[in-house]
Amino acid sequence: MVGSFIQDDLATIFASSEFGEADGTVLWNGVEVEGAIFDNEGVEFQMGEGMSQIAEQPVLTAPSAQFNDSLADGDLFTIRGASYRLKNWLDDGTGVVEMMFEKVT
Amino acid sequence: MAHVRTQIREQFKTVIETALPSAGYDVFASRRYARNDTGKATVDMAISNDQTQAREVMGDARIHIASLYIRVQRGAQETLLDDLLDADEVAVVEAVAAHDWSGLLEEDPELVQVNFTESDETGVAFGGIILRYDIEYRINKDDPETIIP
Repeated sequence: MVGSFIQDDLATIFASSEFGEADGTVLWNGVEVEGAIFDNEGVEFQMGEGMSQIAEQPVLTAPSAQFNDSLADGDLFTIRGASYRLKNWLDDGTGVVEMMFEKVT
Repeated sequence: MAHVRTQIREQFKTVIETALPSAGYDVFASRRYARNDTGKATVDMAISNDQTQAREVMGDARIHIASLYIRVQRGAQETLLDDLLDADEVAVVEAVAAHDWSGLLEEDPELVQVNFTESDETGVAFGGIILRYDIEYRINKDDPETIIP
């Protein structure tokens, strides 16, 4: 269980007034996520054969308490108006979860 | 004139480019730089392991046997990727089989190996199918630009 002092700090860090996405712009299965940071960085990667590729790597970072250990493979997220399918996630054990997505086209 | 290997890669590029829809594929006879995801499949090719054995022929003529790797890579929804790569193989194999290679090669190209590669690092799943063709051409040992018919 993460201490309340950490939860208070996380709430501040992830607030839309600080580094978080604007309120109402991140939805998890239709439910608003209050306080999350979205990165969609272009990354170059090598597949072992042929040329390297460059593509976007959507990652959402948020306080894990919002999800109550209920994240599931394939959950649908709407972020900045675009749709993403949850592929996997990493919970760091200190109250923050990092989620990786497939973009829904 | 260019080296026969260059001529072979360029001819494969033309054959494949003509057969595949340009809206879905970008074809390169040679490509090294990274590509940004455009939603299209990328096809490139490379030759390796080009060998000859002088004792197989008389005089200065040399039969060369090399491996041509045709690589198709694409991003797609995860559940569709393998099916699309299989369809890519069908399209490439049909294009190669339909072409008359007698002006350049001793025999029709022989598909001898198919490999796959993949990456799950980004918001689009990427995969590649690598078709290895054995190709056979004949040149004078001192003139790698001219096919001996």
